[in-house]
Amino acid sequence: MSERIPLTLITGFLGSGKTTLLGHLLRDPLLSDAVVLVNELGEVPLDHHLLRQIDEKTVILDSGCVCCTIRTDLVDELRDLQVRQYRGEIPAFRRVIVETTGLADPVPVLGTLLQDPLLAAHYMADGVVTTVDAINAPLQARRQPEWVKQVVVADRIVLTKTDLAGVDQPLVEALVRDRNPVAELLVADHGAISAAALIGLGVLAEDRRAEQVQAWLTAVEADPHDHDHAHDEHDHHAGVHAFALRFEEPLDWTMFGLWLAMLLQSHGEDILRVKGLLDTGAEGPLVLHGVQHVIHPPTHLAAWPDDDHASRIVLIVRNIARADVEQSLRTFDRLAKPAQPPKSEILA
Amino acid sequence: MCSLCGTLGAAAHWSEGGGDRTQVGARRDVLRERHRRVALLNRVLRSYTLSVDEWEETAYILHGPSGQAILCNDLTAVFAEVARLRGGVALDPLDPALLERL
Repeated sequence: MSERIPLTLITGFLGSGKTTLLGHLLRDPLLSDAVVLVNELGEVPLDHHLLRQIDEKTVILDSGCVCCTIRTDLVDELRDLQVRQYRGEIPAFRRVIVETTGLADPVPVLGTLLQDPLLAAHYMADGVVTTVDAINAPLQARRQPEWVKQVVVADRIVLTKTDLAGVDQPLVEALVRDRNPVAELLVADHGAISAAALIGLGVLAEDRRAEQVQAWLTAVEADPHDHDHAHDEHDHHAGVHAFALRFEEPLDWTMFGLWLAMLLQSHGEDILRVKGLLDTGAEGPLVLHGVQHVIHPPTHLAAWPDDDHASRIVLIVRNIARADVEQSLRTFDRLAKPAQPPKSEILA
Repeated sequence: MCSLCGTLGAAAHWSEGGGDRTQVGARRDVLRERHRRVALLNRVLRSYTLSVDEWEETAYILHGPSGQAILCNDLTAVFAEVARLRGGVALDPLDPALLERL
């Protein structure tokens, strides 16, 4: 398969400065060969030779699951771009930037890239960038489920409007960190930020997968919050929390797949993200990456990134206790392994 | 592929991409894994009077308590159909009663 074109998703709640940020990014030479797809041409003028407007058109499948919503507008546009590039009707492009509307759920965009065979062959998610309006974040965090979803799925979070009077930046950072301890937090200076900090993240790139998981583990372990609470007493983040699981013995992959499929069926709306390095008994680890119901095909690495060969899984969940998940996975994994003879028989 | 719908058929289900083989392709390994998956699945499903068979190396047949036979593309479809047969109640791997039975 030829190299896939990285797609960066820029999302953020209404008025959080997505378009201002995009305007700054487009001045960077890094984006000179990018196609930019925006949902609405707003008041901020964008100047780019490959700027195209799309209207969010979705098809919701019978299950009613939001992750199964196919962004048909994106499918049509990305397919058309491939064809037109092939015909030489547009300049060759090497990356795609998609800006969502302020109320959009970013997960269907990620799902659409996997569900459409042509898109899956030609494009790959590069990362999700979420803008957070520092003035309105405290209110939006309490009242807007879209805000929470946009923050949780982010790989980079850009705080905007931090220079305005009345902003409690430490509070806003804590609100964001509570929901997503794994994304890098950046501050935009009047919308300006280095494109290199947001573009080319390669969250799914083969050669960076282990590094990404390790970054998650470091972030979760460094987070000072209690990670083992299923319900937040103050209801300030609706029970969203992150935790890491560790298994010293190899996990049975067949059973793990069965267990995770079952967990996603019963709690999928509350399993917000999952990333892990699994020891399945092979030479190198299996890398797992998922956003809600969208699980990317796992890949085997040839070797472990360091001397630690234990399975490590990071989950960001809502209203689910770490202890329950760990006990469940251990029980299922034990079921897949041959029963150990009693000690008396071993001694005999 | 969305792990809740699982019926779009665009690509192999994510759960079939792992295993302890580093080179995908060894057909007998794939088959062995499919049959093992069915055996493990049946250990979970048996207390719900449900069972699964492998079908032509491409799908699974879910057998319901009233003799239903439902063709499912992959694990996700199996669990979606199980939930449908149970009046919309999905099997919950966090359910202490299920863990006790296992």
